[in-house]
Amino acid sequence: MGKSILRHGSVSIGKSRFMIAALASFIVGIFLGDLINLDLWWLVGVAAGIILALVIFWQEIYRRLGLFILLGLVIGLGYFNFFNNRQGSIELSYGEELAIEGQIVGHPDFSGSQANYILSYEKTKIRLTTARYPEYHYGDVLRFKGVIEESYPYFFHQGILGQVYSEETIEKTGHRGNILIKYIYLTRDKFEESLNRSLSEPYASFAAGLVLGSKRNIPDSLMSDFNRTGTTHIIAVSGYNVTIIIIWIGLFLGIFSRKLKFWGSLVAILIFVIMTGAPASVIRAGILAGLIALGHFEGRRINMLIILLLIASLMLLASPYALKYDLSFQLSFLAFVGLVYLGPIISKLKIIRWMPNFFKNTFSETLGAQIMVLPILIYAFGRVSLISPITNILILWVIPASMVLVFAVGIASLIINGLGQIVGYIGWLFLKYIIVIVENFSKIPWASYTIKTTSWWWMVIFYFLIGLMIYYSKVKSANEKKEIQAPVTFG
Amino acid sequence: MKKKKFKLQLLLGSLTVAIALIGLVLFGRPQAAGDLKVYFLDVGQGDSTYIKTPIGEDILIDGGDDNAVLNELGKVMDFGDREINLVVLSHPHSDHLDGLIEVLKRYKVDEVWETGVEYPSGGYETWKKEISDKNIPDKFVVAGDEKNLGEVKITILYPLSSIEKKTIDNLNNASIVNRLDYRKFSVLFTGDAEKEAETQILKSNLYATVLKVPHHGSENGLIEDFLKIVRPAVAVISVSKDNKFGHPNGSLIEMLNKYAVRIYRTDQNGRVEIDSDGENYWVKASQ
Repeated sequence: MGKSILRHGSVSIGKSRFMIAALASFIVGIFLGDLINLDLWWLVGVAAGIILALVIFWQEIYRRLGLFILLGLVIGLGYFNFFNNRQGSIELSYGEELAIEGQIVGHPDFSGSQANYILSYEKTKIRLTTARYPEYHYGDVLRFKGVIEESYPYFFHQGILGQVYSEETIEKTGHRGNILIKYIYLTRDKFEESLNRSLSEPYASFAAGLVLGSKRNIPDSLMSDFNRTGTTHIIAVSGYNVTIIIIWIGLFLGIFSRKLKFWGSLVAILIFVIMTGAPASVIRAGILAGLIALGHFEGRRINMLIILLLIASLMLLASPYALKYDLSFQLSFLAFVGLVYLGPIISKLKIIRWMPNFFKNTFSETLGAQIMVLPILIYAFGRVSLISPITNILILWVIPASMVLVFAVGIASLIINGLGQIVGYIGWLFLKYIIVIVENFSKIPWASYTIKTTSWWWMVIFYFLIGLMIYYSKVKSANEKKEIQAPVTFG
Repeated sequence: MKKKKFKLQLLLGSLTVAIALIGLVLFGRPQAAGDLKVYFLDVGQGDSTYIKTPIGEDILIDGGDDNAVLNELGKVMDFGDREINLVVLSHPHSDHLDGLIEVLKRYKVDEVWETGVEYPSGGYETWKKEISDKNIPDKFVVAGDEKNLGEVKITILYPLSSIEKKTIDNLNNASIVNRLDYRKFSVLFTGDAEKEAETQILKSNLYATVLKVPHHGSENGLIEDFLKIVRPAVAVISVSKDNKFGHPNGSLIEMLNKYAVRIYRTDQNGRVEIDSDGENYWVKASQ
């Protein structure tokens, strides 16, 4: 069980260590950004000083490492403050009745008897809540009268600075927008429609929740059952699910050949991204899953940790708020880390060692991801479900198969309507199984307790301990002299 | 060698499972039971009734104001049934119409009955567009129109003359009133009809076992003269908890009690199911 991906990061120390240090401290800097409010020019000065010091102390390896860490930290802090100030400097005239005109930029969100549209407006974005019908689509330019209010923090951190409620008539004055996005959204809509044609409710909504992460249409009673049984994560956040499912497809294709596994996974990722309308969460998950596929394919030749940090940093450049405020961002990265670094440790545990390789890997990687995301889930959903270990064990193993089937249903129904229904029957069995478990376990009176916690120090301790565990297991396996040829996670 | 065997096993295994499942689906579908089933769906503040005839055909009257009807249909329709034979829109107010739009998108609807009344709304425009895009036969009905689905007969009592493309001041009085007969058992559907509409049809065949109380039990809904003629054994009020209109009205409940009518309310009883073999009937409430 010697080599697995986790070792490549630590074994190849050398130059990569500086890169890792700088990137990791950049992320820490962004994390601390809203706590430490520093003037931008002051930070530029400090950064210049550090670079100068680097030139002087280049030969002294530990000082050089320290300076890299400091530099990453300062750039992270500076970038967050720069971004935050820029966003804060945009002023909309809140509270006044205005004639507003803007183009729909995101995928419209229809929930219940309302429709929500994100519009581009005066160099920023606003959210319009209005009647369910008539429906407008991406690219439509809308004109209406309304009062812009300040948006909720959740939207503010997505760069949406205003909220308008309009019951007045809306005039469609034109149509713009990017052709590629238009077609991707169209594909997603077609996919969702064909799911809806093939499955009855609540299965259709649940299916959409599983693969698209949209839980809008899931009935409230079922939603609260998911909450009580600690299984909301399977529908709330698509990114994490998509990562898992692509790993699964990879493992399955790996039975046949290594090449098929890699290229098959890439094709599966691409199909996933397009069919789901390419939301940020799925693109991120796709990149991470592609990375895992590459890791499995290339083996020791790539440094997983550096690529992971690099991708995270690039994504944070696009939106530094994501680190603290985007649940989907947090969950997909943590799930990835758990899968890649905790998975192999778990697979060595005595109680699972005996399993056949395929099941052992799937089980331990899923469990690793679960452990990593647990604190965030408790913090975000404010609830500890006492029976969640049982419900999760009963449910998680069918999630990948259910997702594959949901995709099969959607695609089959796009080709021939009746075919989608036949595949739908099989998919329905899985979805029904999950819903029956969730509904029945949520009836147990002691199923869950609400914890409204705003403190986060315990999460730091949790992740610190996990980090220590990973570190020691790496040291231990590095000390083991005998090396087994086939790395366990490569299937 | 071992790996090859595993591949073969895997392939054969999944094939067997797939065939078994498809067989189960194709031949194991529950046969339609011999009773007529009428479900007053729990769709919040709005109206929606799903009817399954003894020979397994489906009728949907109104759809509530959002997707709640889809969840209810998921529960009451046969597994795998994606077809509705007849959809009736009583009148185009959003609490009767909006849910139906999504029904048209998701189910294969064979025929639509409505009045064709003029009413400006985004939902109504979308509904009309969906019907014409899908080429669904769309009939503007008047009193006397009827349709037999096996032994079940659906008959229109109101509007008395065509109101196609007409503007009606109080759209509630443009509601379709229709009855459903199965041997000796009958249900009267009233949409949101108010006094003005009700008084016009007092001479029609109103007598029914079950009355869907007009206009969610509003005070300007059911009038006593109408109730006297219908003489229902059971009244169903489709209404949501704590609605802003104060439905159902207290004096209306008193009036129903005075005539010894058993009252079921979707806000208290959830989905109300009434089954009948044509002689007897059974009421089941989901809550």
